[in-house]
Amino acid sequence: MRSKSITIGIFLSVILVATAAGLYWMAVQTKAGEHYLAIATVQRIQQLESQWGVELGRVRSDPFADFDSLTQFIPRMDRLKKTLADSIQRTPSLPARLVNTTHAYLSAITAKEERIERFKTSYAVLRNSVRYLPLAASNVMQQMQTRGANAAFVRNVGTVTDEINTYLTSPAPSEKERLMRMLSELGDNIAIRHPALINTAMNFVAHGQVLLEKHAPTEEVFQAATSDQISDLGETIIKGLEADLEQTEALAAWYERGIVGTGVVLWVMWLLIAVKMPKGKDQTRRGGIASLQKNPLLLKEQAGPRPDGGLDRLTADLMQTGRLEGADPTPALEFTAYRIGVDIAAAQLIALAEHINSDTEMLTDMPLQPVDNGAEAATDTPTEDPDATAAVVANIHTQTNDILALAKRLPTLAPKRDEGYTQLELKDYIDEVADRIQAKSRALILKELNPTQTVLAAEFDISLMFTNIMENAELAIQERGQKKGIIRVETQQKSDSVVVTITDNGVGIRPEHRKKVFQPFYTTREGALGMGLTVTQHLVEKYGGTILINSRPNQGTAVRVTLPTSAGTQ
Amino acid sequence: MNTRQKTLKPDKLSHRSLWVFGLGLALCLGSAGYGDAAEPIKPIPVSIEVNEAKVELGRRLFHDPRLSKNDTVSCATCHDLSAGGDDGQVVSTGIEGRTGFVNSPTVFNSGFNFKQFWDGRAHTLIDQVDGPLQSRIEMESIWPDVVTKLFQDEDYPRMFEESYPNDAQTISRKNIKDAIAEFMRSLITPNSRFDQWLGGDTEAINEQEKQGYALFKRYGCVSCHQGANVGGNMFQVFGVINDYFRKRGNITDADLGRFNVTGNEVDRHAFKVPSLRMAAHTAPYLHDGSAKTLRDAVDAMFEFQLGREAPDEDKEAIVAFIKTLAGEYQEYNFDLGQEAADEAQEAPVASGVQEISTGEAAQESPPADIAETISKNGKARPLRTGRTTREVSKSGKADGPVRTGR
Repeated sequence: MRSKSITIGIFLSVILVATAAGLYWMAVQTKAGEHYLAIATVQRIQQLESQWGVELGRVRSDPFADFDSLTQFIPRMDRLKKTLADSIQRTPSLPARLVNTTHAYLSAITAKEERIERFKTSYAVLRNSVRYLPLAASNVMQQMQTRGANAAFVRNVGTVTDEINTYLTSPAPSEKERLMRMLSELGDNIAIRHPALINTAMNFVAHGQVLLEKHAPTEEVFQAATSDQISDLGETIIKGLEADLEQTEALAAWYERGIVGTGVVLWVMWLLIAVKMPKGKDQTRRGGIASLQKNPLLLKEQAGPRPDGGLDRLTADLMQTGRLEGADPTPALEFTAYRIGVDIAAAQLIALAEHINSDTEMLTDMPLQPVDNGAEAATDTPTEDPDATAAVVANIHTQTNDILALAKRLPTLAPKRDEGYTQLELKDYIDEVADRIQAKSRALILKELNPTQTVLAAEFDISLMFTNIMENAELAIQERGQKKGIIRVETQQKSDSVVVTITDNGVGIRPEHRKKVFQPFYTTREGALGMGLTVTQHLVEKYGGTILINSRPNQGTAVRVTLPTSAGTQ
Repeated sequence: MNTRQKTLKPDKLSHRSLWVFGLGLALCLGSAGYGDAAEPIKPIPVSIEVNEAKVELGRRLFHDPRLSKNDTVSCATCHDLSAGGDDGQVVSTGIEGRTGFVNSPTVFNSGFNFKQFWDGRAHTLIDQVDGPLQSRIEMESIWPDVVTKLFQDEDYPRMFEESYPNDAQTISRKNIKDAIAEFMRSLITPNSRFDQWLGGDTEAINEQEKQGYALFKRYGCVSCHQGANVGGNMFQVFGVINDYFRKRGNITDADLGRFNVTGNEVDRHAFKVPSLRMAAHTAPYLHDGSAKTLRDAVDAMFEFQLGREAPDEDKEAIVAFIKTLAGEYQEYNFDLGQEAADEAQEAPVASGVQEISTGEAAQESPPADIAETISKNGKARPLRTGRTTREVSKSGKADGPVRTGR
């Protein structure tokens, strides 16, 4: 049975692990990383492009700027283009349209780079001629004057220079044609003069022609090189990539969910197999006690009145006063326990009786109350005779009141306790209790009693508190049949409290019982009263302390009592 | 293990700290000099970050003829470092005596060029390596053959292993290119007299050279020859004002320049503006090697690019200025040197530096007074002694010798 379920489990596990591995492979194949790389690269290209444009603008505005700063962009752009192309190539899932757009984008960048080169070529010559033209004009005029001036020609040179300058500030295509004609006429007219003059004049004409011819194209390539057209294309690519990325990531998320789901199925399956299997008998684990101590669970139960269970036993036990099971034979302790037991029992009883009273009062009132949804139905079809019910209720009421009166008298019937409060060194009393338990137990009691501050308390309260815990520990060890039973008792001084931890490697408390251990008259042991921990809790709370219990079935139990050093019933 | 970083060896420490100190000095002086008006020419950095192991590997590969088909031509065949990074020919002679179509440019400072080759067809130094190695007229190799040959070498497997420890195949096309490119990146010539002047040493160049620089800017040369490399950062059409090719005639494919790469009409006859940094040592000039001297090149530029006339003394001043641009690389000091140049002009025969036949390994001891010169900023800068490798000027003017450490 057991081996069969394990075999099936292993078989299914292999299938599930293989499924998870397959899903993981698919998730890896989706390669969303390439999308991010491509998007980042396009963004960096756009950034570089705009920086390049800014630098181009700066160079254009500075007539003496060199072009070194522009050339540094070339290798950087080359690298980015290569990265983008590679990244797109490595992403086969991309739609063909997006791939084509990217290729168009890349060639648009190359075209733009070529325009930048053309701008540089054009602009270098242009700005040189801009600077030289006035000088060339004055050279011509100077030569003319030394060699017998033709006034009209000199005037023409001046006019053309001015008009070319005007053209450069606001270029009109028609003007360009006219000025070109004027320049060539100047060249023709000069041809009859001195050779040196011809040379000078022809240089003037040539530079004028360069300006007229190169100005507009230079502007054009500059505009083209700094336009945002390519950025729009880049935006399109980014949008396309993001859309595809979304799909890819959604797919990847499903693969991921699949992997997690497979893991959960695997886990649940083995859990089921483990639950079905027979319980391990003696699963002693090393460090069990220590781990319990480290992590005590707060299991404080409010000792509120609970009508369930134990009512019969309550009365029975109460009649046999003083015969509390498991109490220490020391008469004083027995008396203290008995006395507290009576107090608790009385309180419980009073609460119980009052509870019954209030219930019966409600029962008496009920027929007189109109029912919310359908007052007629309530009056028309009475299922019981209201008078008979009232009589029964009144009877219960009377009896309960008798119980209540008895319960209230109970504590006064019991002998008074002599409560002498003194400053106590806890470890002395714990030491004494431990020795007493050790005397009648086969378990080994380890004492790690560190000196602590004193606590203002009654001697018997403290002894009883720890006697109950240690007796429980001893019984738990017996119950488990633990031959190497260990009870460890520790005291520790915290800032304003003393912590006493008592740990055993006994049978432990089952989870379903855990919440009930503090309830009065709750016990799992045959013949026990079930008041031990109730009394202990009562005492701990009396001194303003807390009690915590952590337990694992078949491993042991840790009880931690914290008592404030400064507080106490003053 | 980390090959990206330079390893600090005790024997290199002092050398390195000197460089770092020099860099700091240059930065301080540089920033002081640029405070008000930025010059269109920037100094070459005193040092750049390179991987020493790759540089050494690249240096060996650069000088290794096994990169060519029949083990006769190495990179250094046409790019002789001692000769200024080129071979002084109109066009270079490659494998089996085949000649090229354009003048071979210097390899020095090529890392500062924005693109490689006259037509800029290679974006990076790494891409560039494929060109000459596979070219039918240069090395005519195929990569697998080169890799096979290098595998049979005693040292290469270890050197590649050290430089590329993470690669499955250490001797590969990719790594050979990378090492050569790294070596080329290291070929920089900082600390030229002009850079010293830029750095604030007002005495580093003489009056004529200062005048030359002023004219270089005024005439518009600087429109294109600018930046740290005095060129190499843009394409320019040759024949902006006057048509060079119509005048010269016999137009070849190589004359089309960048048009061959882009096919755009605007790129017809456009070339990468060459760097003038090593111009003092890299005659002849222009893409077709048609200008035999610097003065010839300056004349051509005035005529076809600037469309301006200038008196001879202005052009001479510009030539003098261009000669101050060459700096130093390791054992090679390409600076013609103020004193040396003056002396060469005054007593050319006595200094033994003029008219030594090309390629002749004439061992001469130069006079002691030029064996070492103290630069103007007080730092001892050795002017290397040794043979004069080749004659720079054929026009009878004393352009000065090239001195090397050999």
